[in-house]
Amino acid sequence: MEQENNTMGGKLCHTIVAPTLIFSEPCTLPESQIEKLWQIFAQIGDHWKDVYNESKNLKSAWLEMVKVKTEQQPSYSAEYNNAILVIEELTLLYGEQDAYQQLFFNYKIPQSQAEKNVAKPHLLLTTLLAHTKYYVVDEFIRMQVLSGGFKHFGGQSNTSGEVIKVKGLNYKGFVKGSRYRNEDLVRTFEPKS
Amino acid sequence: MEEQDYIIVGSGAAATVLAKKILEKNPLTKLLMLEAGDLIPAKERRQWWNYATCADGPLPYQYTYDKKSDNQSTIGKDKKPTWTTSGARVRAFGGSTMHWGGWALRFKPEDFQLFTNTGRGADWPIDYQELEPYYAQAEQYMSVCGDETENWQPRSTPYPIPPFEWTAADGEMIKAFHALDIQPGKMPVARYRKCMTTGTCKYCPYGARFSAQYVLQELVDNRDFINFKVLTQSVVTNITASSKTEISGVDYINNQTGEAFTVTAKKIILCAGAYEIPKLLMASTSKYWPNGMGNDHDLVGRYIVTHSMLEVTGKAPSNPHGLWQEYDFPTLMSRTYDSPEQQKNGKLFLFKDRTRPKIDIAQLMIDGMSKIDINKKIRGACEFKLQAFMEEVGQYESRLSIGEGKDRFGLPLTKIDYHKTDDDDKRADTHIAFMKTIIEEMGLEVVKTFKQTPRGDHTTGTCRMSATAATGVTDADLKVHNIANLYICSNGVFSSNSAVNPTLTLTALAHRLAEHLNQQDETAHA
Repeated sequence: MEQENNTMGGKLCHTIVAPTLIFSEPCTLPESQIEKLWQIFAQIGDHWKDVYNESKNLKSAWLEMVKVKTEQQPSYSAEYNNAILVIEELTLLYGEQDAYQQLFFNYKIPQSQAEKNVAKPHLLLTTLLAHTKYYVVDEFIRMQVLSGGFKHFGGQSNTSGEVIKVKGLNYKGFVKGSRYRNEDLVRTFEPKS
Repeated sequence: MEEQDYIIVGSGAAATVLAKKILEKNPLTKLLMLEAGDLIPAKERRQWWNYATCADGPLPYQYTYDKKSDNQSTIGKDKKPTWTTSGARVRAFGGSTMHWGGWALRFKPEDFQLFTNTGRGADWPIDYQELEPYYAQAEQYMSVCGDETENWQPRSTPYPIPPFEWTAADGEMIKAFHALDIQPGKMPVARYRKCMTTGTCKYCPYGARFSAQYVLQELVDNRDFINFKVLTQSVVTNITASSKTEISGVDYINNQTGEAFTVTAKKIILCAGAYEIPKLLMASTSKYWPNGMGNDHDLVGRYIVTHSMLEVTGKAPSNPHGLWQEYDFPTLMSRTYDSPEQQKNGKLFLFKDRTRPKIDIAQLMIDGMSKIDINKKIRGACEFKLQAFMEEVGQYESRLSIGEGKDRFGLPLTKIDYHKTDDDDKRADTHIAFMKTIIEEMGLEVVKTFKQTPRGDHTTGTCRMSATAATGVTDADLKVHNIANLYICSNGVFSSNSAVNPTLTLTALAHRLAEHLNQQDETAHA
């Protein structure tokens, strides 16, 4: 792991807010905002190379998630708008590539010494940057992994660490196939007769 | 409200079978179902996404769980409250099938003759042969997938759906089973017609776990059943007796309004679970039943028992094939030690833990780990865990009773005075030593052993079935002894609890009771 960076970002990123989800009424995000949000999701795929050419194939599922999370209570609309502004500030400061690199691999939600024993990290989300990491980036990562990203981990790797043979067929939360299926849903054990 | 043909108290697995079969036989039956909990929205995409993506993974039914502060239980000599009730049941429309694991296993013939075979516990007043056709109905009803080649007990019909296959991660344990003459089996799981994407289920890929809520909602929506009504947030507080041998109805409180009601019925069936039913019977005192209904012999609430879970965890230095348990439920089990020979020592139902080997790829990414490092970790050290349920025998001294105060549903708190025998502890130690040999046979280092304190998930025996009123609460037809029109359909009627999960047996009993009641009604109309 890279060295931790708890001080990244500018004035907006460091703005202090309550740890709970930023309140907003349910609403439909404008198309332009959705596309900016999609870039965060796509960057996760690019940085971990866990979906290769599949990012676009996940878009309909991702759009559905964003829709229900913004149009139903409690709404993520303000949280998503905040993330877009945070990414814009980070990009301005570090350039797009470095901004995402630091956010994904180096940034840690800051914890004071006294707070390190707190079991629920979301109670420590006191900056807009921490909100972006916790409510947007982390949730997008989970969505991407369970929607197929897991398949690109754990297989045989080449010398540079790239998986050349996909191994996992299933993962917690992943829905594959139908009840009447002809192919295995998971890697199965075949006893020798 | 006019007199009902039936009142069913509770709305879980057993209640739903009874309502369905009674209404399908006579769609105009006046049937009132009273449920203390609420309707929890299912088929909710937002709930599903919250479950799948949020760190806390909120599940919408968990607010109905017993609070730890509600626990007034005691156990053993030191009287520490270690009978766990929190997380053991869901109080809601559809009952505990909102959160159950779906494991659907039949009891074995010897389970019905525990006393005859061992001199401990009690025999059931019915045998396996009597219940077998209803097991078949229950498996069909809940779409149980299982291995038709298994030979754990006699079967008249194959499973309705083929089994989930063993995962590659099961392989090493299967080899160890074979080396130790343990027969591996495929876990039978109750599924449903199709995935409902409930937001309350974690059983994908395509487990499509059975939930009584769906069946119940279909009954409510069916316009043929115009006299069927389910009232949620309705807490039954008393069963009213019109004589020593007959009851007239129930009193209940609407939790939304605080209003109290009395409703009469020709027959009442208590399906509110092994906790609430004995408390309701004990609370229903009258000049006919000064010690509580059906409690002249002081047996209501007694013989409470559950399963002790035993665990042994082993560690492997590496995981060269990068295996993880790709289903979120167990696929490997064995009933080799759930056998007549083992009955005297406490039967053991073995299964591989559903979560190991586990690799939470998303969390590693969230923690900032690179892909190369994650792949190394996947192929690094990993754990396998073998778990088991051990059969215990309900003791006369072990008793569920009414605690002091009420919970947030308005139900009286639960007090459980649980007594284990020294032999039970010795048996558990012996079983754990045996389980360690399996883990060691896999070439693993044993890193942890664990004896769980009693958890209420599989509670049985609080209103047990018996041949006579002097030895139990209900008769072989699940009718409370000496009361003509009061029935109990719950895990509480089990005379012994075997080593396996109780829900399939309860569902079979519900099918049998529904048939019995329909025959009674047919005879009465004739």
